Amino acid sequence: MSGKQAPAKTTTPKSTVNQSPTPQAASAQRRPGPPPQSNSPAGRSNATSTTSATKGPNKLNSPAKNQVAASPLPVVKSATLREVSENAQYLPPNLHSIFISSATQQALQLSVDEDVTQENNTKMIDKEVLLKDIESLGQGSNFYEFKEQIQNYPENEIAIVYDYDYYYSQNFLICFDPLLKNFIANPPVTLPIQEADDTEQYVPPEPKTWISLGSEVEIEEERLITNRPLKRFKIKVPSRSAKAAAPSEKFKDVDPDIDRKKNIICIEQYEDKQFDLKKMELDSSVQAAAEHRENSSQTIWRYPKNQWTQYEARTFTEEEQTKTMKDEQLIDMVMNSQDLFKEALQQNVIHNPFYLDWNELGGDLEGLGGPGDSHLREYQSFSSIKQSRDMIVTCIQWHPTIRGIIAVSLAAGQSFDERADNMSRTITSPSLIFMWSFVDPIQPKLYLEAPDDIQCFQFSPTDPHVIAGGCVNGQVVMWDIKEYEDRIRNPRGDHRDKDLFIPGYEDESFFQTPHIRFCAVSSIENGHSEPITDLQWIPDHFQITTQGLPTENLSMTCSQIMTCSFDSQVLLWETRPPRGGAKPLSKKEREIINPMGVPLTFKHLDLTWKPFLRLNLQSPEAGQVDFAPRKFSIRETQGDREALSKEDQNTFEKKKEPSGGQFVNPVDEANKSISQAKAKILQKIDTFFYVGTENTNKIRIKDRLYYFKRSSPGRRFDINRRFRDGQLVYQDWMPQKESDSTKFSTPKAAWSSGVVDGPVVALKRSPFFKDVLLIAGGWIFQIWREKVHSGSLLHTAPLKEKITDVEWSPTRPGVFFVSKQNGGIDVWDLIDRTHAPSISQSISNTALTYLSIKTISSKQQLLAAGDSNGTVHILEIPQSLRQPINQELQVVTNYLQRETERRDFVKHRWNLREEEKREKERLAAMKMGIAPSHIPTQDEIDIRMKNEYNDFIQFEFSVLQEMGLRDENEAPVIVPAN
Amino acid sequence: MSSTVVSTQQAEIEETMKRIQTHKGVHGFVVMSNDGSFVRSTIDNSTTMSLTGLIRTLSDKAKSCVRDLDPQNDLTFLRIRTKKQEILVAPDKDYLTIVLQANEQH
Repeated sequence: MSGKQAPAKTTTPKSTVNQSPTPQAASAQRRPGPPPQSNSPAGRSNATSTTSATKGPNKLNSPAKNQVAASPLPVVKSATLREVSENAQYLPPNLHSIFISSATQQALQLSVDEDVTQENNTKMIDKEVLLKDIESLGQGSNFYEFKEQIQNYPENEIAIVYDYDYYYSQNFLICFDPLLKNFIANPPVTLPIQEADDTEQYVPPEPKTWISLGSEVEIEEERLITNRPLKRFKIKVPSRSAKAAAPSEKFKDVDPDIDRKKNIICIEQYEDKQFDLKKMELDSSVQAAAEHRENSSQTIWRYPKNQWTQYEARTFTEEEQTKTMKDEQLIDMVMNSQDLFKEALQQNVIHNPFYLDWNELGGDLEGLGGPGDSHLREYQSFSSIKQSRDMIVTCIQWHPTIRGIIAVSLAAGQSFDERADNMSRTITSPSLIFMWSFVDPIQPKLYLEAPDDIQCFQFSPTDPHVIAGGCVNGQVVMWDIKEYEDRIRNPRGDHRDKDLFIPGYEDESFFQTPHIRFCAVSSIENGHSEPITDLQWIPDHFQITTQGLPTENLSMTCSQIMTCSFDSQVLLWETRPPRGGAKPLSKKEREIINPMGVPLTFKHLDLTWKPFLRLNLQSPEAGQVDFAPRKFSIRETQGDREALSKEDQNTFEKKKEPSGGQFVNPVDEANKSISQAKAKILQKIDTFFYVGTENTNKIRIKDRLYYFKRSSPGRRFDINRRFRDGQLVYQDWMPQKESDSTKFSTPKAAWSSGVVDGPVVALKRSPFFKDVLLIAGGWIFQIWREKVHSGSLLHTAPLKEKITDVEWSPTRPGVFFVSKQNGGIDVWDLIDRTHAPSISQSISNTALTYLSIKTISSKQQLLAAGDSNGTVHILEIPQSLRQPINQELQVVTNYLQRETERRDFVKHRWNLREEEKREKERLAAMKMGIAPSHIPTQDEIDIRMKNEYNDFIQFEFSVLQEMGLRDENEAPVIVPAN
Repeated sequence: MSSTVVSTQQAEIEETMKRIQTHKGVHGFVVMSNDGSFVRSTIDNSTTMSLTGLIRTLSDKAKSCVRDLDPQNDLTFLRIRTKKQEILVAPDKDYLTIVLQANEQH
């Protein structure tokens, strides 16, 4: 293709740029032909495309246009003379370098930088003008050497080109080729544009059939062919092994600076000016892509299933069985094994009566601690940092159904005067019942707000969400926590459970323990006038009418509450609305009435609640101060249905709703009250109950001694008791008609006696013996049996510390726990010893105030002990105190029976002694002759005989009644005494 | 002739079984073949099934144990004393007899 170009174009000015002769380092010789091309510009131009080839003349002829872009660069300016002369070689023929002096320039109007500039560098000059210049100046003319050419020039004007940077050695170029002149005059300006077009429009190359234009010859010429063997050089490098192996080779250290020229040939670094191009712009691109990303996919977790195979056990059919029965082998086998069996069986029968004593020793070894460990272990303790300070625990109740929930009431440990002084403070900060969960010992689950300090409270046994409490101010308070039952039940619903909420949307109130307001309080005028000291729900199997009669409870839920207080009253309260009483409220009404969001369960009671039965405990002797009850105990217990007849028990079990709950919000369900009209009177229920009192009638010791001396030996005991602080009173709750009026009033106490030397703090019935009571007060506690009033079955010597509470073990009949003022707990085991506690253990450094025990599971029993620092200690009962030992119940029953018999005997002896004493006195009097011997008169004999006869009638009647021969309501015919 | 012998012997078996069952505390008698199916049982079906299945493997195991200890030896009788009862097992070549005796103390 280069061959087709004009010869002027093949040799471009650019090709001179790299004209410095480069050493030919090839070891191979080139073929004859064009000069070495690897570095030569000519070769390069051959290889380049058409566009680059046409560039050459363009640059040459219109340097004005292309100088900036493509003209020889400043490199040329500093080119050496030799280089410039060589540049001139490449000038096309008929184009000559010429020097025009400044004078001539002016004459020809060709002044540099005025008429001609770098950009506009051509000027047409008339041939005549030049010839005239030659003529006038002769040899001095700048054009003299071209005289002939000027003369021969066919056209009139000659083109002079200004060589701005002396590229071709002189300042001007003169053209003697008319074609070239035209080219200079009209430079092909379209070429660069075409070039641009070419690059922009990409035409995919189309395959063409190859036409030979001689390039294959060029390629053939380019090929290197080795025509001599390659030279080999051997360079020895000293190595340590070589040193030792060939010591003949001598190497020595040479100072590179001194001997450099002699010994070292090196090609030093130099700055290649050709590559001085600075990169000004750089196209660069970056692909932005995330380094990693997270992805998730949901996989379906199918329920894992066990592979199963159904199989059937192999059996013989009837026929096969009969067939195999005839098998001789079988027969043999049975016959042979017969003796073996007989022997084994007989051996067993012989050996069975003997058993291993070791197995019976020590009982069950399972469980923590084993049988040896008999100490109470602290399981957990609850104490509120803020609210527990200076507070004493007044009552502890375990939640009847939900495990691990315990309610604790706290009260300020203040005397009456302190309380009066701090009245304003107590009002502003409401008293609270804390509902603790074993899951969270830091924050209580619920706070129950009370109008005043709570002395005692109890969960309703049938509706565990209902709580009744007795206040210091004598009011009975009701709470309904049904709405919060989920909160209590949910072990994770505590304040740390932040996961429940999206961050930023936490419901602060959720994490705070809710304060629950009471639903209802009793009316102040009709309630107690002193602090309520004991409160109990009447068991669900009976209810008490306003006449005090125990009747069947058809609703089968606990609804009545019994309370006692210092004001010598025992009150009975009904929580159900009166028949047809509370009418359901509309929603609007509810909102008006109920601004605090309090459940309306007991709305009908609020502030108007009156006890339906009021018992006044009068002193049996006139002039004495009435009893001040502190604790009471009724015979019936929750869940004990013995009082009901057999069939009633069955219906009771049947009717019992599993959900329970008669206390529904009246809005949700209107009057659910069941008519109690048909309720039968339950004869078996004992209307007598025991009351433990605090005697405020202090009698001086002197007086006591006076009474004591004056009394008979048999009475001494009684007299002594009368002046004790804590009395035990046997009382009937059934009101009786007074003799002088038609009014019903509480009967006088059937029996009363001072039993303990301080206010009664606890009066508890044994869970195993309904008629056995444990009474504690002051420094002593005693065990009494109902209706055995001659004395206690067991009484202790005064302890060193005041007793604060007692609690029976629910699983061991002979075990009970006694808490003391010094923070210790004594464990008494009647089977072990009766004169001293089996275990005495210190629990708290402040006085314990309340004990409450709960059987969590067959393996766990927890005792909650509250102290006067507001802390509740949960103690785990060791296995030895939990697990009844062999026939313990029998042993304890026998013990109590023995003690009861002893009481009878003592009583018998008292009578004997009394008789003896009277006889003695009579005899002494007779002897002295002061009084005549007593001779009974006829009247006296009659009276005595009538009395005897009446006794016999009574006895006969009772026998007949037992046999069912007499009606119950019939009364025996009694002969009047006189 | 032989059939009469067999029948008399069969009667003897019945007699033996009755006799064993008259012992104090015996409340079960099972005769089973060594492939696990029972021939005769005096207790309910499901209990027999589980009993035969389990006791057979145990007696096999015991038998192999005895034989491993002494190849000349063989298991003749197996007594399993439990809290509630005693299981008496008499293994034989093709058959197995199980007697259950209640433990008196419980």
